[in-house]
Amino acid sequence: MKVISIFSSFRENDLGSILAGCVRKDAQAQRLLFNRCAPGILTTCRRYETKGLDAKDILQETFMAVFEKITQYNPEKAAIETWINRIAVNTALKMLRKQQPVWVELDRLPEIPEATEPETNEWNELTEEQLLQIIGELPVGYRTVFNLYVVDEFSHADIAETLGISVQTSKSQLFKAKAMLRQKLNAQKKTVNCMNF
Amino acid sequence: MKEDFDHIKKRLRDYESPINLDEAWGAMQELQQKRRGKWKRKSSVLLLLLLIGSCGTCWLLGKRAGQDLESSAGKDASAIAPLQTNLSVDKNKPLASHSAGNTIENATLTQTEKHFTTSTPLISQGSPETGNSVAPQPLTLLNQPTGSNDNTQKTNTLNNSALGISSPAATPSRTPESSPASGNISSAVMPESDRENSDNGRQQSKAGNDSTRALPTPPPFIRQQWVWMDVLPEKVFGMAVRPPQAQLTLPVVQIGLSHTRPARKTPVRKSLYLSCGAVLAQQQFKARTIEQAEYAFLRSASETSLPGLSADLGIALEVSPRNYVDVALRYDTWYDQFVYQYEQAKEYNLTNVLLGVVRYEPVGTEVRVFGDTVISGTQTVKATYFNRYSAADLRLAFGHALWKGHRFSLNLTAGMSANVYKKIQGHIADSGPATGVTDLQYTPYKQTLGLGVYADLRLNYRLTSRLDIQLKPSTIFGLSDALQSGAPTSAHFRRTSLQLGLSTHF
Repeated sequence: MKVISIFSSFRENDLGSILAGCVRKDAQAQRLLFNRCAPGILTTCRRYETKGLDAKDILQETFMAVFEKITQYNPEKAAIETWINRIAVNTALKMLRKQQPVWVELDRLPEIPEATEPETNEWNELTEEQLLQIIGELPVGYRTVFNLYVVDEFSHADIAETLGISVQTSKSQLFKAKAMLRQKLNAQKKTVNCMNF
Repeated sequence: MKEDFDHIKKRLRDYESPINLDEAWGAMQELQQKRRGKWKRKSSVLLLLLLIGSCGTCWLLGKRAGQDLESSAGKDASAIAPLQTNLSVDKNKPLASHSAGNTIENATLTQTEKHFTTSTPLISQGSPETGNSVAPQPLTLLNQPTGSNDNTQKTNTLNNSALGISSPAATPSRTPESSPASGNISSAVMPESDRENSDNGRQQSKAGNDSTRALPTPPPFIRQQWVWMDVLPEKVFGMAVRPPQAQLTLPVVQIGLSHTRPARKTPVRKSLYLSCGAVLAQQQFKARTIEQAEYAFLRSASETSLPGLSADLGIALEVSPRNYVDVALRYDTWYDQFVYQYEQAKEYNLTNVLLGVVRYEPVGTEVRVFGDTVISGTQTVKATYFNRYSAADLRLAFGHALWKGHRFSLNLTAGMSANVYKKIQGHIADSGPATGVTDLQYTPYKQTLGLGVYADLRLNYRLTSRLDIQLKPSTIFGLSDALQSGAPTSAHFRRTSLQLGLSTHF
């Protein structure tokens, strides 16, 4: 890393020259872009990982696609991190689609007991790693819809089109995902209290 | 509901997961290498299949072209018999030349002078005084009797128009009624059975010639076409302009290397590219108009292009992520070999020869007393031209990316093309008995800018990060005439080709 920084013709803070280097398929520029964006993108990938789909695999596919499509990037429309994040989401969905997750319809959902709405500060007590862990424990369908709707700001129509499900299914998955999240948060809170006690 | 999780969203989006960057980067590079090797193998198999397919199609098309030539030659032969009577040419009439370059201006083949002359003496039809005139029977006279040294009386005219290298004024006018020698050769010289044998022999002789002639085997999917129109003197045919009389079909294969260099300082591309490659082409001649009977003594013609060079130098300016303006200069140079065989009308003056030896193939040799006799017949002559074509086109086109994928991209480019330079040089190596080898320099075309419409479709397939394979069908449709100096000939230039090449980004 240090060697690259010393002898590289690109400055780490000069995003323009890094992008221009990526357009020319310059390996040093690609490495710098990877170093800059990979940690944040890995978080996105972790939100979509499943048992058969590793976050690092999604990350690799994402950056390979980024380096292929870098010529299509328009800096006037979005920041590079946003653009790569979108590619990561699309890549994850594409890989997820190959696994063909089972989407549970609303009327077939198991009954989830009502949970009290957690306070905002209760969410804040959790670290990001714990948040990712709780989200990761959701069923694939719940988690995907939750991630797309809540974190990645897809609309239900977009989700339905992207995942090939109905809008109603998307809404139901989101509803149940939130309910399950609250339940898991309460369960975790109880566990922590017991341990403290 | 959505607002409940806003704080989660913000934290998750800003969070950077711990990662060993070196390890992740190494794993990604390894995966890339692995896939690159996989794609290379797949591409190699694809190219191999394409090559095999091309060869197969070439073989099939070549077989078909050979059959076409055979059938057209058969038609020609059938047309010869009733038509070939008296061949006369007005030597004062101007000669047109082939607009695509296969030109022999004012060319006349002579039997003994071994060169082209500009004189075009008439070919007389027998000698009515003797009563031994020989009717214009299509026979093959292999051994010329050596009875006279009067070469000017033996001069025959080669109609270049008939050969797809139009010399319209040299086209003989057919006047069957003018043949005073109504007595035919079969009655005067040969018995009926011999005449039939002679006809059969001609067919056999023709087949023998064709078997030695290498028929063109055009590649399958790459075509280049020239359609030209000859403007002929009115006094020859009674009309000023004739419809297109012939068409050359020129399949082209281009295999080359292309380089593209995007701009360094901005992600918006200004691509400078240079591509060059070999041009392999084959073309065949086929007369198509109703005037084909005029050239009935054309037996066969084939044109085989030899490898040449094609180069594009251009710049593509991107006006939006999917649209670009393409400005380029294209230079082509290639060679071809034009081989034709024709039935040359001959007059053999056997003046003062009492004992003549005439050999009718395959009947054999016949010894006859001719007296003062003139015999008209035909002779198969094979001639070979070598031409070098050069052309430069300047094009301004607008391009649009129809599709951009990970590995595939499809671009459509269309615009105007101006032919700024065209030149044809060549020489004739006539292997026939009539002439030796004669060099002939062709004059360049006069062309008033030569505007045309240009369009191409580029399909790129990325083999590696720096190497693409490109498939590019393109067409140039000429809108203006190309004029050749010294000849009342105009031509429309139309070309369709398919280029298969490699493109490197640098």
